[in-house]
Amino acid sequence: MTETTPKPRLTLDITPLLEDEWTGISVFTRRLAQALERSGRVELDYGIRMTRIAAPEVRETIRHGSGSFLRGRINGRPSDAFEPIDSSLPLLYPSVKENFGLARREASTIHDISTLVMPETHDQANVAYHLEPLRDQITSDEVVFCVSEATRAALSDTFPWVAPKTRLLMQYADWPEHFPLLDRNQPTVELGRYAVVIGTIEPRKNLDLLLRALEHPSVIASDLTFIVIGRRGWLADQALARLRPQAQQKVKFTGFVSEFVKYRLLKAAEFLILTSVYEGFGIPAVEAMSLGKPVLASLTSSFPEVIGDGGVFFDPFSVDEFAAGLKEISDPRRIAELAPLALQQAASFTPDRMAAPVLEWIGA
Amino acid sequence: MPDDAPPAQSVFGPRILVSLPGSWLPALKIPGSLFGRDALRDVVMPIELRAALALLTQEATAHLITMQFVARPEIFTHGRARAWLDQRIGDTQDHVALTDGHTLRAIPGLRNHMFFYPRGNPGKEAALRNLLRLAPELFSGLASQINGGIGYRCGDAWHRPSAMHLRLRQTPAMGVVERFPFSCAPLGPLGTRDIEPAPPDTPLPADRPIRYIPLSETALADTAFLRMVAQEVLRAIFGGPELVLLELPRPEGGAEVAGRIAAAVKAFNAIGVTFPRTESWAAQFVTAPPRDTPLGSILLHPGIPFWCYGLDFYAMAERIEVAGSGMASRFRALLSAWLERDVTLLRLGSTGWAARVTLSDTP
Repeated sequence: MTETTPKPRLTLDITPLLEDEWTGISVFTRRLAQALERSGRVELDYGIRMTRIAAPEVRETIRHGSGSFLRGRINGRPSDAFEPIDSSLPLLYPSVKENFGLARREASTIHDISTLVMPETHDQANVAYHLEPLRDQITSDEVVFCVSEATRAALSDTFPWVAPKTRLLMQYADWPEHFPLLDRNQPTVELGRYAVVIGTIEPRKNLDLLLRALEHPSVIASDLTFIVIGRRGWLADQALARLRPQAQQKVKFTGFVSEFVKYRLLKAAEFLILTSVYEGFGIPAVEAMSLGKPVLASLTSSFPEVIGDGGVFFDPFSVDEFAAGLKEISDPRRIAELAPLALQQAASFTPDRMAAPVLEWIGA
Repeated sequence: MPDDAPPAQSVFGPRILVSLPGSWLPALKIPGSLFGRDALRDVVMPIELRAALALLTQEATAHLITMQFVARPEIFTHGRARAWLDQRIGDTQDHVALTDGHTLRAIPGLRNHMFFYPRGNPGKEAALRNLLRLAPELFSGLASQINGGIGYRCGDAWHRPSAMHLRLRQTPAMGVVERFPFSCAPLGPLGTRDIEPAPPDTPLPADRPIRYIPLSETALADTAFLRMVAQEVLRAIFGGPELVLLELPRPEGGAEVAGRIAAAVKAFNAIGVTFPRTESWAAQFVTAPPRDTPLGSILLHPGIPFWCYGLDFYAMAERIEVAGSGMASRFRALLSAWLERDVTLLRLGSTGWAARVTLSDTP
């Protein structure tokens, strides 16, 4: 009989999973939990701030895909049934660390520092939420995980003393396994030649560039239309109202769509467009590339490292450069060149890659 | 500095990059991430920002420096995006970050110079203090601060980025110069009151020296300073030796005269000083400094964007004084160095006002 070495233990804070609708940080947290569990090299504990959450409850929450299940379980629990997290275990926050010193070894995750460098694109409460604890957060962390090299560079440029303890923690795309089968059972998407654009009309997403580009001669001449996945706010209405009818007809807003509808729209698209002026990572790019779709993206922050050779880049403030990039990536021959590169690039982001720096930190 | 003096060597290299606060970008029609001064031509902006740009333009013109603007320096920190920028800016070594206090965006590898332009705007000054508290490291790598005097302590060490002094030779146009009689009678229901300006061709009386006091929102919020100004106004009204000219503040950069008068009157009425209810021309509100008028003295509060005035303005004054709560002595040193002349610090007296009460922690 061989003696097995016990696996190292880690507490993962899953506060973001309390959200009703999982987007951004919640999905990142879910992927991190799944990547670590899948590795088989760590015994995971879970916590919400100071409270320990049983692993089966977390797995069930992930199966439901919403925080309402977990909130219901917690709210219905008698107060003497709460168990504190084990402070002797390393504690990892997948986002902002609101409490300090709950465990002897702590690490947190920085997604981007846009609240610091472009606060005018956030509301004040969000700026305060991210910035007030930031220095204490990274000071008390043993390791600071950054979701991209861009975020790591930006953080290290601002706080040079934090650079030695930064590590990359890059996520991956994971469409549900049943989506391809479901998709095959649906009627074909019949929207003609189109590109998907992901993002709302908020200033940081820079959708205004696309709307201005709709009047560019080469864009008008193109047979492409643009399907914007995201809400159409009053800012979009204003921007669209300035356009000629011919240009207005080239763009359609879907409003909020389910993951499956997003999957279908991306799968039938020619390529993805990301106009954002600043992103910490840019997971929609990996999601699109995982379906073999190249990306036309702003040359900014994390996009070059995330998209690599699977896309075409443009100056996020130049309509002319955008139009030139659009012309290049609209060419079917260019798409054929880029598609395998996009697939290859997306395949480089895996659960193992995401789990590795965390496992290294805890010595797994 | 005489007009015909050869310009001293610039601190900047042959090319500079300039960035504006991100909040200004939606107002600009720019061709790309890099753009020229033309994109700012018809943009309505507060006088302080306009003056800051005029200062940089003057420096660039005098030293044949190429000036280029960058929309969002924060996106060009590393990798392929940085290579793209480097390719386009060539041998540029200097980046001037015009900041409104909400952020400071440096470009790694360049010499970054900070220009905090909304001096006198309490909200923006508070934002700058907050930024210093949250991320003092942003300031520690600065090559210089232009026309500023911030200092801060991080841990045990004090930091004060090197000062760079840029001065306008001529005061830029600050709008029509209008003069109004001083009056602090209650405002109308809309917070404004009709006061007729002096006819445009009426000269200022030459029988008394002029005491010129620019006001800003920060200066108006400094009760001790405003009480001191109020005493000077009262002296003038009751036959004192000086004519007091109070330059109206520009709330949030606004140029609308009624709003500027209302802001001043409201502040004077809030400090517990009683003024005659009648209008007086012995103290006047002015919208901008009168041209080519000798001044007996100028009194500046630390919350005045002093660099908006040209050297011609200061040269007209026999005496320059500063007063204000808090950092007035530091401001005196900054202004004295900037003007290269003596500046007097006036202590704010507390005579006649209730003594401050300080409570101990324990009963």
